[in-house]
Amino acid sequence: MKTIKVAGVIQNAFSSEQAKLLKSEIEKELVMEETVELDFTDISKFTTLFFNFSTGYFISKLGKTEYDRRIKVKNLTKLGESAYRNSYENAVGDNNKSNVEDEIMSILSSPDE
Amino acid sequence: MIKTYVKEQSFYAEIDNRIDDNFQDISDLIDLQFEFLNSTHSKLVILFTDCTFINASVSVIIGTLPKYAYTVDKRVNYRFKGPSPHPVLKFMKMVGMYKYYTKREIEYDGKDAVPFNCIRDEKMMDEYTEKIMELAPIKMSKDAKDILSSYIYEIYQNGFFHSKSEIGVFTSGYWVKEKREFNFSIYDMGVGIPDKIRRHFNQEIDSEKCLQIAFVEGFTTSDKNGVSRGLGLTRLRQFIRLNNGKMSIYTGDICCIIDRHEKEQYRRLKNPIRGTLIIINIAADEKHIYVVE
Repeated sequence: MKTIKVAGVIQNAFSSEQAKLLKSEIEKELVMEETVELDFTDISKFTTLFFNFSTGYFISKLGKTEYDRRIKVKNLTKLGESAYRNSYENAVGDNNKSNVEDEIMSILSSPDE
Repeated sequence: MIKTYVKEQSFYAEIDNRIDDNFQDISDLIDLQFEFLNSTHSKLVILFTDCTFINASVSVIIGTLPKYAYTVDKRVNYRFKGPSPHPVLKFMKMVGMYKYYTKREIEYDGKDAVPFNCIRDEKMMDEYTEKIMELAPIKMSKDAKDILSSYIYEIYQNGFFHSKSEIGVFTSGYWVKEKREFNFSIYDMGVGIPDKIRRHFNQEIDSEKCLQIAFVEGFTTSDKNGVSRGLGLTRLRQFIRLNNGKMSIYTGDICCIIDRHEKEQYRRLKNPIRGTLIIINIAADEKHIYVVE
């Protein structure tokens, strides 16, 4: 397993540009390594969009099962954990797609105010 | 109260009172925007007569109008009648609106103001978020700063990436030291949330329902890069509720207010706003610890 020290690649986990830098690093490592671990030590600022454009890309590309097997994250702050989880759940949305669709159908079929 | 009339081929609007961040005052400004942009008149003159106060968060509606009007070959003039220096002109200088349009350096005494400006890219979002945190008149722990700045950045990102606004995303705000509050707004004049949802489903859907759908956890839209993402509202709503804040969203012909109450409150606008205006009020107290779930 290869560990990527995220703080060595980017300063904070805010923008799509920073996300693309991390995405390139992950892509490089995945060619050679079976599993990659992302260590977020010293990163304290996060947005959901950052994860959408970095880890989210690999969830879409590999699928949930393969992603969960090959990519691990560690040392996220509580804020980082919250943003990561939000992005992860959006990206693996197919798992609870029927619940989301049910909720949307219920909104659409309710009478207009 | 805004009085409108037509004189010598121009559209006139007289603002003779305070403009606060309440539903009625914001609706009046949205009506003015709608009537002018949908009229055949190419010039709008806004007369600030006895107006003594404009809320900084709401001022983005007035501030963006000249910029947008220009893109559709219309013009907007501000005129000030009354005491000198006029309080509204003074306010425009304080919040940076005067400098934005005239490019003139002026004595800047709005030390608690988040200057009115257009956010054009992520680098600017980063700089602006930093600036907002530097302007904070209170001392916050590093954790509190990290959390608040991350959410401010995320609010900018949502506006920037989802609206596809031709003129960028505008922002303005104020740290209200006495009330220990931070108020700021972000306004894009791009595709409003209801239209975005209607396009996604390719059907006519009531605006209130569109916003309800935007708040469904796990509802995502995909961009051309194949990256799935939500509209970002669910997470913001959670942050606002956990931290006793308030978020008002004006988009399409609907206003949605989110606060500590479990249910969002919806109010219908007489005329639709162009794009989406989000106003955030959040506690800014040195003792406040921002909470994330």
